[in-house]
Amino acid sequence: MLVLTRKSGESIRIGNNIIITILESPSGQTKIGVKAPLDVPIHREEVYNRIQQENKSALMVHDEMSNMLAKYVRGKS
Amino acid sequence: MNEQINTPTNQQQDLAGSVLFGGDEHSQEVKIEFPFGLPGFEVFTRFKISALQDYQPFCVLQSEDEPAISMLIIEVKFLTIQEKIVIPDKELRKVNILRGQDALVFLILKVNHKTHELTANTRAPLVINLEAKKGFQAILEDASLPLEYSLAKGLN
Repeated sequence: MLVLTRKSGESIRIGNNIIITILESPSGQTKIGVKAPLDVPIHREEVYNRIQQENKSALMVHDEMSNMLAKYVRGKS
Repeated sequence: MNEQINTPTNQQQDLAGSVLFGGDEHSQEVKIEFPFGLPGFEVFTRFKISALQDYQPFCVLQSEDEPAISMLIIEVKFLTIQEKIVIPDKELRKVNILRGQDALVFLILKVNHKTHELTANTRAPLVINLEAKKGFQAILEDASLPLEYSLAKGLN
């Protein structure tokens, strides 16, 4: 892992079009500004990991799902 | 009953005239490109959405390249939590949507094994530009949106 030391207000450039700026680092928490093209998804790592887990646990188990759906559709009518 | 979800032939028959796809009897499924993939399945970008006519309003999102990547989804408009799920403009622009009402928004469903209920991930909706056939999975900043929203209390 590349480790760079930066002060508040200083930036790191990644490629041609991504700039990460350290905005504030008062007490343990660091505020970071990221400027990147719209087509570059940016997420907090732990949130992204959680959504990955949720997606994997949503993969269809057909027996289970079909029984479940029948219940919901019947329930509506 | 399982075959209606599993078998492509049955699925195609069931999908004819789906309301989701504009009532066009020829539109049995829609192919959508997800340029970023989905979290957890980043390398897969080609998907199709199929409506399950016998189980309306439920649909299936399935990878064209890996059929085992298959998820049950539902349009957010069928859930009472709909109004709380707001897709920011900057997210909509990722699939070239300028107005919120032009976006087709789905939620991914799963089975909660403790309650034996279907739940919806309201924090990470699928946002689709149907005209451009492009979509992505947004991750919303609103941490109060539940990852497991029970359909038992929220289906319109």
